[in-house]
Parts: sequence; structure tokens; C-alpha cells
Amino acid sequence: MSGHLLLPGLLLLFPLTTGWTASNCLVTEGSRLSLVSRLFLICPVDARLSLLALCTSVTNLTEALAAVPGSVEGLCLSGSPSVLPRDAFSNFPGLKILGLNLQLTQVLPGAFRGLGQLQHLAFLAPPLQERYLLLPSDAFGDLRVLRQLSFLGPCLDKNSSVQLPPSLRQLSVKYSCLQDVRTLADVFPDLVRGLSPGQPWSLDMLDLSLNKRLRMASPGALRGLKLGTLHLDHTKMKAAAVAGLGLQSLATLSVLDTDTAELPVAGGAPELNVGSNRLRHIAPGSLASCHSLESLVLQSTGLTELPPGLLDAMPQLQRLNLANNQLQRARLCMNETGAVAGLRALDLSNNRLSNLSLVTFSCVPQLRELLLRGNQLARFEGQVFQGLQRLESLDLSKNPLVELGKGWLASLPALRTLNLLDTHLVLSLAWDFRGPENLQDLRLQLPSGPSGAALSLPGRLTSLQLQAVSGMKLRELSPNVFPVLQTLTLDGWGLQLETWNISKTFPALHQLSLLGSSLKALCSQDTSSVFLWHLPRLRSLRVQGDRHSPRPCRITGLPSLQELTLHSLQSCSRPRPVRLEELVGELPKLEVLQLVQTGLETLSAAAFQGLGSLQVLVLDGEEGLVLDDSLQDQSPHMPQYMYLVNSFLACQCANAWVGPWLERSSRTYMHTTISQRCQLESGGPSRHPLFPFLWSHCPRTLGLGLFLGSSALLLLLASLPLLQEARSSWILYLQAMLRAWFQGVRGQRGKDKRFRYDVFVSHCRQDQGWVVRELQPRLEGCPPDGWGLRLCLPERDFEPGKDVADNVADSMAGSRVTLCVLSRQALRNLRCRLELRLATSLLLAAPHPPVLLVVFLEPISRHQLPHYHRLAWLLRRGDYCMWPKQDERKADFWAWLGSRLGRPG
Amino acid sequence: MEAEPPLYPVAGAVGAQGDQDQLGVPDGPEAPVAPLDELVGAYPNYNEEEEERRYYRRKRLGVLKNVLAASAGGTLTYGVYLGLLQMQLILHYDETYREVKYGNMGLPDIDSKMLMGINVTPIAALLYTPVLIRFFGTKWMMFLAVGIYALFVSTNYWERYYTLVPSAVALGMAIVPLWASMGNYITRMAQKYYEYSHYKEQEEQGPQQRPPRGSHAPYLLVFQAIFYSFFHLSFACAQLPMIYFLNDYLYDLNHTLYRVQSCGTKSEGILSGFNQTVLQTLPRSRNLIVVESVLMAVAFLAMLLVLGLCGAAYRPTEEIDLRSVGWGNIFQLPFKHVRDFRLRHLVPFFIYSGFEVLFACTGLALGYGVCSLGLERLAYLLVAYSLGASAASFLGLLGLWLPRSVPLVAGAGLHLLLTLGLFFWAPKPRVLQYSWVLYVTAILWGVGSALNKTGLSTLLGVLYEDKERQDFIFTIYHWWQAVAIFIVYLGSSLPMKAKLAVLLVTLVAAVASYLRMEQKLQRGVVPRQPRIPRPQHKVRGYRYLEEDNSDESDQEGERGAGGGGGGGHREDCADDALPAGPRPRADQGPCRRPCPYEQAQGGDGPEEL
Repeated sequence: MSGHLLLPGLLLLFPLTTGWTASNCLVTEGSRLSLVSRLFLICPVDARLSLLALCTSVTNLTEALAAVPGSVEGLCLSGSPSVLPRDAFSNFPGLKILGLNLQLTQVLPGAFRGLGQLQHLAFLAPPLQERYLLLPSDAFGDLRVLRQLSFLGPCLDKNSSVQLPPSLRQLSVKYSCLQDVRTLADVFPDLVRGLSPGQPWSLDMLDLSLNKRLRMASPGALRGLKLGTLHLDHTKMKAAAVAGLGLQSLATLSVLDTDTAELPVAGGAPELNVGSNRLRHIAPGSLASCHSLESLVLQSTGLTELPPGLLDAMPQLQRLNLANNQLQRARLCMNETGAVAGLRALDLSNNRLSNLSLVTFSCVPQLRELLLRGNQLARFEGQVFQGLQRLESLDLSKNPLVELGKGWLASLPALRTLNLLDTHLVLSLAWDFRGPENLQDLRLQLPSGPSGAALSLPGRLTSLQLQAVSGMKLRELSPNVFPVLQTLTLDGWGLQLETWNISKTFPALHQLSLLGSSLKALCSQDTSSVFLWHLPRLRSLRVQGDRHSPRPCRITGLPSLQELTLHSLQSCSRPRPVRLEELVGELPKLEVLQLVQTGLETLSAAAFQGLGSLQVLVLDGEEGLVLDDSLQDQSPHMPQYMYLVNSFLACQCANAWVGPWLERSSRTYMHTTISQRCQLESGGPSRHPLFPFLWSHCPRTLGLGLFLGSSALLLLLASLPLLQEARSSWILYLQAMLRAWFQGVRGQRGKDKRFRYDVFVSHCRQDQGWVVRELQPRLEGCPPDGWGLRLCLPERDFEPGKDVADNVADSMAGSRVTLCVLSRQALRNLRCRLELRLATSLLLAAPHPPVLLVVFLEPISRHQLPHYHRLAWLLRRGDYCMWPKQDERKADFWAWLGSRLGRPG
Repeated sequence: MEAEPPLYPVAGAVGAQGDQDQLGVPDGPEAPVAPLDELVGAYPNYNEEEEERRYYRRKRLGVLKNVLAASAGGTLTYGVYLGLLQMQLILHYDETYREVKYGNMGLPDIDSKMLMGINVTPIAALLYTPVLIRFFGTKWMMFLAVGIYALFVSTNYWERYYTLVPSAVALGMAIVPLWASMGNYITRMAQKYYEYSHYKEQEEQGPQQRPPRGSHAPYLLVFQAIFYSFFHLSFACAQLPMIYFLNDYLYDLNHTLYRVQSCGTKSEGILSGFNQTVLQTLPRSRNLIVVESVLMAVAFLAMLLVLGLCGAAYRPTEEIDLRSVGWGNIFQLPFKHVRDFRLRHLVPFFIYSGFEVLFACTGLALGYGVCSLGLERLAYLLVAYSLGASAASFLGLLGLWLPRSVPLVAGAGLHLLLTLGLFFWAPKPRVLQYSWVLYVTAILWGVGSALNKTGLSTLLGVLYEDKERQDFIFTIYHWWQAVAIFIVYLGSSLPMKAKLAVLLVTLVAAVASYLRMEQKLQRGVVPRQPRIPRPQHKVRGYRYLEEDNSDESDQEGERGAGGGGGGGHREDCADDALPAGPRPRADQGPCRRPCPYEQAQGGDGPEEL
């Protein structure tokens, strides 16, 4: 039963097992998007979608789409087709995001038919090229739920009256040849016309940024439009012109980098972004127009000083961004008794603040987030943050901080996140993290100071990052159990921790990042070189090396690990090729393995033994990869997705199997760079496509077949001398014995042949007495005493007048059995020898040889037998017998003879 | 039995008598010899002389056919082997080719193991070669060894460690047996040819008589000349894969010799500084398979030539006699032949004979040729050597008119001059101006090689006429050559001057030693030769069912005992090959039974009834 369930289960599990060819399409699951997101570049993607596909170098749209699984939800196409035909995507009813990075000039009506679930449609084109795109007026008529429409690159100026779907919320026209906002209104008249008379069109966002030629806004060009955000970044529009557009409402105005020289009138928008303009100075008078601002971004505006009363002028301001200016003093609050502002987020990072006066933050009790990174602060008083009762996040990183004011944290009871990286803290008696009960996320540069002192940290942290500089003394952690710590990042190694009870120190650890040299400290120093920490609940491990480790560390023994990233492990001074099994060991739950510049060279089946659950393997920046052909047999257990990003297969015949395998493999989806080429170390100018090159230059099974065939033939021929050698000796004996055996097997059946005699008795004259006395009566006598056989005795039965030799031969041929009686005299007798030889040669040569029995009347040395008579020695065991001297054993003799002559008893 | 003239074999007299004797029936009737003979014998216009003459002419033609087939088979085999080895070594030398085709397989390692197998294994050949030759017989040994050469070709279809190295070891085992049995075969053919052309004298002398000493020497000279003329062509055959296939892929000398600084006498090792890449484009595997298949087909052809066209070197009974001296004796006899001062004096020449071939192929062709002319002209250089040697093999026929030492010493003198010349010559890399000098040197070296090879083989055939030891002698000769090849293999990284010096010293020592031997022989010094034991038939065979003869062990034993045992026999049989030594009791004395050698010469005694 379970077998019946298993199969559909598998089919459901891998709905895409067929049709995946080595086309130019990259397919990934949305949840794995982060691994390969940089391949998607400008394509609109969303990690929430179940399946995403990116097809590059498309020349024939139909062919390319045939290779894409039908259940794909996000699709991005780039290539050369210029016309989008009718029903192009009718096979993808579930498509939610579609990016078209094609050189489109025309979209035919009905091109998007069937895309009822499409939410985001983007037309992309290389910027700086004037490429006009012609859209039919009802191009988007079928897209009932389209929320976002983007044109990045193509010129829309030649269109008019293109209808927009009513569900549209965001419209972007970027990198276009737009010069006047009115043109936009001509192309999409719906924007001005409204949904219906009296009901204005509303958009969450209209993005016109990056239109280098946009400089005009005809008055009333967008009259009546309800707009959330208007982006005019990197254009030549004046912020002041926005007011003339005639917008019904505007929430946010962004005029980044637009040659605005002074703080503009926001046209009523409560949020204003004037970043990257050369303001330098804000006249106090201009603040008056900003009275209603809620958010103000003054990033990178070259400010050297804040205008006095900035906060007072904007009582509703909640977010203020002053990053990347040249401020030396933060004169936000005038004095302790100033008006209280409602500011919630303040960014002062990357300024030149060297000192914080006690009153700096005295007027912003509502502040939740304060960024002070990248300033010149060396020390501050403990009371500086007095009054920031609600501050949750504080960033003091990249300051030359040496000492923290005593009890400074006590004034920040609500603090949750604290960043103290890249500081120069010294461990002193004033070291104290008491105060904030809720501190969860701490990033800390390990302080220098006297050795032996333990580093005391809050025990309720959930996330901790510790940074160590090299050469620092190892420190112990003060509480030795962090019960809720989930994320730990170690940059460099400066801790003194016992490895054996590490799972007790960090019982809840889920995510571990090891940067710099910390992996080396966690690796056993013996030859096995394995990862020492045993963390049964660890799910994610990221290792980024410092490129100085001479040998790889094997990550193994982490039963719950699901994601593993190894980055920059290759030693830059002594690079050596690494096998995958040297990097990873037994990781039964591992699903994602990402290797970036680890120096990996060989992938073989052995490495995948311990990786039973691996689903995604990403190889990034690995060059000269060799996929061992043991993987071919392993392929049912290979990860479902393999991405070779910036990685190249070595131009070696060991990789020759990969090409055909990629085309056939239905289980594993492997993405490689399309134009894998043979980069020979010294190959000179020729650069061949990899697989065709290997295909034509590598020996294949034809060579093996020829080898086996020719060597088999050769061995057969070479056995001729042996056979020839054997011809004279043992083959004949073998043949005779086989025949005797065969006759023994079917002897009972051959009885009906007519013989003149039953037994031909060959004996010499000296033995005649024995024959007459013993043999003849027993054999010829009437039953029951004798056996009633017909004997042929030479003296008696030979035909007179016939040649003796003929007589012997005929009689022998006419007898069923030839019985040779041997004694020493018989062997000296010529006729006896003749008869014996005739019998043996008949045995060897005749087609139906007679049965040959030999009776020794006396023991005869082997050497006394002539060579050919030694044939008798090769007779079967039962074919000869000794005539016993003792009377009591004669019965045995007769029994033997009787059985051989076919007489029971 | 082919020595017997069974013209119209119904010749009743012989048959009846034979029957009677074989059967040994005492009371059988006397065979009616005369009437039966008249009845079924010769018909009126039957010319017995004429028929006999035709018969022996056919026999002689058969011998010629044997020689030609063996020579052609040897040539093809060796040509295929050399050509394949050369091609594969060049391909494997190329870095790119190795990288692409064999990646992490360690091809240079395999190649060096393979060369080791080919060069080192023959050292053990002295232990088993005579045993093998006697066990299989000369012809079948040749066939088997050619088959092993073909097996080596076959494994090159599938180049792996487990194919190449074992086949190389097998090949190494087959080298000495092949060429020893080949030399033995040619010598034996010359003796047979003599028998068939002088059948009348033999009949007059009686079957027990052996031909006068050195009588077969002229035929031997001609046959060896033919053989070596063919054999040296194999070097040219080996270049055909290069010329027709590999040369299209090679870089020219400006690329390959870019970093080569010094050549000729100034060079060290083999081609130091030679470019690691020699192939412009890699040959496609299909093309390689085609080339290998052609080579394989030729190797098969060689096998079939040996199998079908080479007749047996001995009669079956002779072969049985040869192997019936006891395997222990066969094993020991090559070592016992060290007692013979002639062989001892020739050893330096044997070694030199190995040196000079390898020097032509590696020192001259690579150190002087490739180093200055580039890899693409290697083939033509070796073709020049080969053709020169092949043509000059007929110079060995000078021995028909001149003393036998003249061609040998002349070849050595030529080599001496060339070696001295090479000692002071360092051709400039990448300069083609003096390429003719190289070609002339190659041709002249070939002439010297040919004189050396033909001279030595002929000399051995003349010095050791009796067929019982020829295979030992040729085994020793080729074993020393194998030792020389091994020495060259060991010293391949020496500077060229050292190699030339070793060559020179060996050459002078060889000539001096050889001339001393000739002088001793002139003075009539009698060499000590180990006794070849009398055959002891222990073999059971059908042959004895048909013919009543020596296998009567009891009679043999009696007669052997009556003959005074081994001692008396020893003297007589051991000395039978003395060149001019007195043979005191050759015809009378205790040796009643003919020695095996005489048996062979005059038919097989009792068999001849």
C-alpha cells in the first residue's frame, strides 16, 4: 500500500521532474532565491513565490518557454526577440511576476492573455539606447490583478492612450526618454482621466527617476491624480515644479540628486527626500516651509552645521536622516528646557562628531533608534543618553571608543539592540552591561585589557556578535550559560571555551557564523581535522575563512544542520585542490550547501554519502571543477538543484560525461554558465565550447570496445601455441577419459548393439593357465556358477588362415569388452603388446570404442609399462583391477569384474 | 618425416616393411616386396631424378618463403610497436593533451612505469627465454611474442594504468624471446636450405653424416641480409603514423625549440628546455582510434603472416628431442655457455649492439636531430636512418668474399668515426642550414648498424652450427642487448658527452675483444662448450602410438647403460661443434647412437626406415 502512496507522493513532491533540459533557464525555488539572487540582477523577483525561472540568451521565445516548468510563478526572460506574440504566456496561468528583458519593439494585442494572476509586469531594456516600444491600447486589459507596472529602459513616447488596469498601484517609467511629464499623461491618459468621472485615479507610487532628460512638468500635467510617493530622483526636475503638476494629493516626494540647492517647498507632501543634493547650508528661513514634514532625509548633502531650531521648526518630524554629512556637533536640542520633539529615528552616522554634550539628546524622549556609527567619539559621559527612556536600538560602531561612561546603560532601560563593533574598548572595572533588561542583540568588539578578567555579558541575549583582533588574549565568558542565545557570530577567535560542553553553554543556538580565523580554533589539530563543536540544534552555519588556513576543516556531526555556507577557505599562499569530502562529513539534515571560493576541485559520490537530505548545492567561484563520474551512478541521490555560479568545469575528459548527463537528467536540475569553455592552461588562442570539445576529444566506449575485442581476439590467437603444444599430450587423454565417462553414463542404453563376443581376452601364452582355470569357467560357465558370456580367446576363436593382426583387430571390434590380462611376461610378449596397444589405440581413436578392462596378475612397476601402455594408468579407477593372491579377496575381484561386465553379483 | 622422399607413397616395400616392423608380429608372413613394388610402383616414364629435383626445389622455395614471412612479420610488428610508442610518447608529452584527456590520472607516471616495464623486464629474460622457446617451439614462440606486441597495441585503445602497465611488462617479457627465436629461425632456415640444396651429397654421405663445417654460411649470410634489410625498414614504417597523422598537429620548431639552448654534444639529458606543449590542436579521439586501428590491423597481419606462412623450424620429432633434454638443463644451459670464451669475447659487442640502436633513436635523433631541426623532422631523420640501414644490410653479403671479420669491423670503424665526429659537433637550435649533415650522419649510422647486426648474427650462426644450442646463443645475444637497453634507460639523463664516451669505450672494447677471439680461434684454441644432454623422452604423445621407435624405454635404458653412460657420450657430443678441433672418435667409439644433431642432419635415424 505504501508503495502506491509513495509514487504520487514523489510526483507531487517533484512536480518538475520532466522537461528540465540544459537550456538557458535557471530555475529555483523562491525560498532558495537568496543563494542565486545575484544572477537575477535587475529582474523583479520575490522570495515568496514558489518557483522562479530566469531564461537568458533567448532567441526563440516559444522554444525557451517550452523548457520552463508550467507551474512557475516568477519568470524573467532576457534575449533578442523584438516582438511579443499573441498568447505568449498562455501556458503559465499561475504567473505572478513577469520581467521581459528583451529587445522588444512591439507587443501584439493579446500577448498577456491568460495571465489572470499577474501582479507585477516589468519591461526592461538596456538603458542609453533609444528603443521605442509600441503597446496596443488594450495591452494590459487581461491583467486583472496587476498591481505594479514598470518600464525600465524602453521609450514609450510613441504610444498614446494605453489603458491601465484599474488594480494598478505602482507605475515606474525609468531610464526612459521622457522629457515632459505631460507625455506620460498622453501615453496613459487614465492617470488624468480618472477611473470614472469624478473619481480620480490613485497610485501608491509613481516612479519617474533616472529619466535623464526629464526637466519639464507642464502645469497640470497630472491633474487630479492621487499619489502616494513621487520619485523624481536623478532627473533634472526642480522640486518646486512638483507643485504645478496638479496632483490631488502627494504623501512622499523624493528628489534625490536633482540639483536642488536649497530645501524645497515640499508641495504639501509630509515626507521629503533631498539626499545627494549640494545643500551645504540650510537657511533658517527656509525651515518655515517645512513645518508639516514628518520625515526628512538630508543624507549626503554636505551639511557642516545644523540650523538652530531645526526640530522646533518641524514639530511633527519623526524621522531625520543626517548621515554622511560633515557635522561636527549635533545641535539638535538647544538646551535642557527646550521644547520636546516627537522624533523617533535619528541617523547621524558617518559624520565628524567627536563629542556629545549632555544636552544633545535631551529634547527627544521619543527616540527609538539612534545611529552614531562612523563618528569620532572616543568617550562620553554616562549621562549623555539620559532621558532616552524609549531608545531601542543604538549603534556606536566604528567609533574610536575606549571607555564607556560608568552606568551609561542604566539610562537606557528599553534598549534591545546595541552595536559596539570596531571600537577600541578596554576592559575595566567600569565594564558593566547591567541596566537594560531587554537587551537582546549585542555586537561587541572584544575589549582589550588585563588578562584573566572574564568578559561579563547579559545573559538574556538572543543574538551575539563578538569581534576579536588577532593576537588577543583568550577570555572567558562570564555567565557560562546563555539560555536563549540563538544567533552567534564569531569574527576571529578570542574566547576561552571548552568544546566538550559547548551545547550546554549555548543550548538554544540555531545560527552560527564563524568569520576570519575562528574556524581554525574550532578544528581538531590532528590529521582528521574535523569540526569540534557539537551543537545538536544548530540549523545554520556560515563559515568565512581568512584565506590563511592551510588545510580544510571537515564540518561533520551536526545532526540538525540545514544550511551550510563555506566561504573563502582556500589558502591564498598555498592553494591546493580540495575534495568535497574533505569539507563536509556526516550532515544528515543538510538541505543547502553553498561553497564559495573554497578551492574545491573534485566532486565525487563519496562526498554525498553523508548528505542524505541535500537539496541545493551552490558552487560559487570554484574553478577547474571535476565532476567524478561516480556521480552518474549517484545521480538519484544527487541534490535536486545544483548551481554553478562563476564556476567552471575543468576542461578534462573526466567531465565529458556531464554534458549528456545534463541533457538526460530529470532528477537533478543543474545550472552552469551557458558558455562553459575550455580554458586550457597553455592552450593558446583556441577556446572551444567545453562539451563539444570534450565530446570530440575524449575517448569513449568505442575505445574500450575495440580494446576488449582486439585483446580477446589476440588472447584467442595466443592460446593457439598452447593448444598446439597440448595437442600431443593431455588433450587426447582428456578426450578419451571424457568419452569413457560419457559411455559410462549412457552405457546402459547402448546394449542393443550386436557383438559377436562379449569379452575379448588378451593374454599371453604364459597366462593362459590362469585364463583357462580361473577366468573362462567363471565367465563362460552356465548360470548360476558362471555368467554365460561369450569369450573370444585367441587360441580358440581366431579364424584360421587369417592374418593374426586382422584376427586381433576384428575380434576386438566384435567384442563388447576388451579384457587385457597383464603380467610381466605378457609385457615382454610382442603379440600381447600388440593387442594391448590395439586396444588402447581403439580406445583413443575409434568412434565407438570398446570398454577396456585391465587385469593385473601381478604388481607391475609403472616403469615397466611401455609409454603407450601407461594409458592404462589413465583409465578410470574402475577399469582395472589386481588379481589377488589370497582366496578370500578373490570374491571382490569377481564382484568387480561382474559389475564391469554387466553381471550383478 | 618430410625429409624422406615419399614420392607416390604407395611404395609398397617401405609400407609393408614398416608395418611389419612396427607391429613387430613375429609370425606374420614375409611381405612380398618385389611384386608389389612392380605392381604399384613407378610407371614407365617416371623420372626419379627429375621428380626428386623438383621436390627439393619446392622445399627450398618453402624455406625462402619462411624467411621472407618471418622477416616481414618481424618488420611489421616492430614497426607498429615503435610507431605507436613514439606517437603516444609525443602525445603524452604534451601538457595540454595530458590535462584534457587524463586530468588527474597521472599520465606521466603511467608512461614512466610503462617505459620501466618495457626496459627492465627483459633483464629477467635469460631465466625463461630458452624454456619458453623449447616449450612452444621456435615458430610458436615467434607467433606468441608477436601476439604480445599486438596486445600492447590493443591496450592503447584504452589507456589506463591497469591496461598499459601490465601490457608493457608482458611486452618486456616478450622482447628477448621474440628476437632470439627470430635469429634462431633464420639460422635454422639457412641450414635447411643447405640440406635441400645438397641433398645428393647427403645421400652419398649417408644419413648419419653431418655436413662439413660452415657449409651453410653463404645461405646464412644471404638470409640474415634479407632479414635485417626487412627489419631495418621497420624504423621507417614506424614513422608513417608521424608523417601521415601526427605531423599535422605539431607546432613548428620556433615554438617547440623556443627555450632550447644547446644541442648535440653540449646537451644534457633528453631535450632539456623543450617546450611543454607540442600540439597545436589536439587530435580528435576518433582520428586517434582510426590510427590505432590501422596499427592494430597491421599487427594482426603480422601475426597471421607468422602463423600461416612461417613453416616450423624443426621437425616435430626434433622439437620433441629438443625439449626432452630436461627443463632444468634447458634452464641452466645459457649460463653454462659462459664457459665458452668465444661468447665471453663477444659480450662487449652484444652490448654495443644494443647501445648503438638506442643511440640512433634517442641520442642522435633527439639530441642532435629534434634539438636542432624540430620535432616535425624527427620522422624524416629516422626514415633516413632506416633506409640507410636497410640498404646497407646487403653489404653484409661482402662476407661471401671477404673474411667474416671485415664487415663487422668496418661497421664498427664507421661508427667510431661518426662518434668522434659527433663528439665535437653541437648543432645550433632552430638552424636548418646544416640539416643535410644530420641526414647524412643518420644514413651512415644506419650503414654501421646494418653491418653490425648482420655481422653479429651471421657470426653466431657460423660459430654455433648445432641446432641444440642456437636458441641459447641467440638468447644470450639478445639478452645482452636488453641489458644494454636497460643501461641506456638508466643513463638517459646523462650529458651527451658522457653518453658518447660510454659508446666509444664500449665500441673500442668490443672490437678489441672480438679481434682477440678471432686470433684465439686462428691459433686453434678449443672452446669449452657445455654438453647438451641426451634427450630423455618422458613425454607421452600420440606420436608414439604410430611409430615404433626410441620410446621403448626399456631398450633405451639398456642401450644407454651399454653405451657406457653419460661419460663416453659426453665427450663425443660435446665437442661436435669444434671449429677445427680434432674429432678423435666421431665415427667409431662408444657412441653407437647418433647424436641428436646428427639425427637432425641425416633424418631421424630409426624414423627414416
